[in-house]
Amino acid sequence: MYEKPAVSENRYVKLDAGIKTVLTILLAVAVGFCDNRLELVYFSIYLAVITVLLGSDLRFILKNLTAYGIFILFPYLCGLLLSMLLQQFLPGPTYAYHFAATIIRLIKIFFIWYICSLYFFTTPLQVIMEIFYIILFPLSYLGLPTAKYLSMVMLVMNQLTSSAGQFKQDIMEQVRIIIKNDSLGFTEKLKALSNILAVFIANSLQHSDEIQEQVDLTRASDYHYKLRISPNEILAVLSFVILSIFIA
Amino acid sequence: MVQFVAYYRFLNRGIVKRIRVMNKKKDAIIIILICNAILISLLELIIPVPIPVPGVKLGLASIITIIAIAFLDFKDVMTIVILRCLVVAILSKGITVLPFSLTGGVLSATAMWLLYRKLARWFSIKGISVVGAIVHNTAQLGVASLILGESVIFYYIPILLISAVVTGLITGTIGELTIGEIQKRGIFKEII
Repeated sequence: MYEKPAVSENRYVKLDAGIKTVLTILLAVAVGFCDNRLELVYFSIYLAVITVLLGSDLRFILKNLTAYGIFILFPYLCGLLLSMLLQQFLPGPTYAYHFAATIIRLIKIFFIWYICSLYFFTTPLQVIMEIFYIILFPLSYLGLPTAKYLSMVMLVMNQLTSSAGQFKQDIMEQVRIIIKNDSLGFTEKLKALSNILAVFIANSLQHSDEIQEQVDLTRASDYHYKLRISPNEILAVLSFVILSIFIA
Repeated sequence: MVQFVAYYRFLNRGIVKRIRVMNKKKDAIIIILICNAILISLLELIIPVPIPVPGVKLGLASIITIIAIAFLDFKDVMTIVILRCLVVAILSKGITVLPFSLTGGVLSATAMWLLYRKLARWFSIKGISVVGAIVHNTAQLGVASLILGESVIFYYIPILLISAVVTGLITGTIGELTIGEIQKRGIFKEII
């Protein structure tokens, strides 16, 4: 998971990141205006087409479904079940369920979830940082060094790429041995684990000088975005306009 | 008097120099701690969760938040939490999870910081960790309820609270022991 982030190469359609960002925001807003099933069907067809054109894959879709299920669907279904059970056994005011409206809302949330994830899946990291820099630029007037923080994010990514392998080999192996050691009690296992973590933190802090040097080399000019308009971008905007007409 | 002023200036210069050294390395320390938090959370793949409920994690990354609360100031703790959430969201391409993780992370770190700094007499690190886990889970459920516009989701809270107490106790125990080890070894003293 934390090896070099795999970004889809936009196998079929390459879009300018700025225009893609604006279209992503507009699509997410447009979902809010879909009020009936037909409009949601149009929207899902549109999303299926752009998923293929932007070169996304099935694994990505499943990953999205899992995250959506864990954060929204599972708690909702559990809550629903528990509330029904409670109403069955305990007297009191009944909860008003709005199933049809909730299902439509669940689909809309999934679409927004999906659109945002698709954007991040098909956009390279450096470009995302450039867009973040533009979005967060007003904060620099309040004294927040946005360029520095974005560089810190990039440095964390680089550090993770370089140290994840070593961590898996050393620390994870040591922890695995401790967990599987049946002669150790629960408290002893936790103590051994904390020893490993303390040594790991101490060792990792030894690189602080070189990392700080890299942070100090950061400049705002590292994040520069240039708008590029090609037939692809014009077609993308046009397709969105057509979708808007359908769902308007 | 002159001697006293000279000594005071000498002392002051020492403090200023120390603060400068600390500030100079602070960004690097923050970056390293974010990396550590993300890497430590990988250990959840091999450590079994006591309560097998979908979405319930041990939350080992909070060990680093607890360590940061013990050794760094509030602004640095917030920077670590916010940037960690951002990095994980970008890496996993799950940016839509960001509102959940950010709200949970920021609110639980704030609660833990307040308890550690203001009410440490009444709360052990284990207790602080349990409170952090409870705030984290409740905040995430609150965000889900807000997005969905349904309060029925809060019926799920007892399950999340029970899991928060268990996972908070485990991470709190590891955090407490790790802080003890760090203090014993003087790890942050050497750096900061």
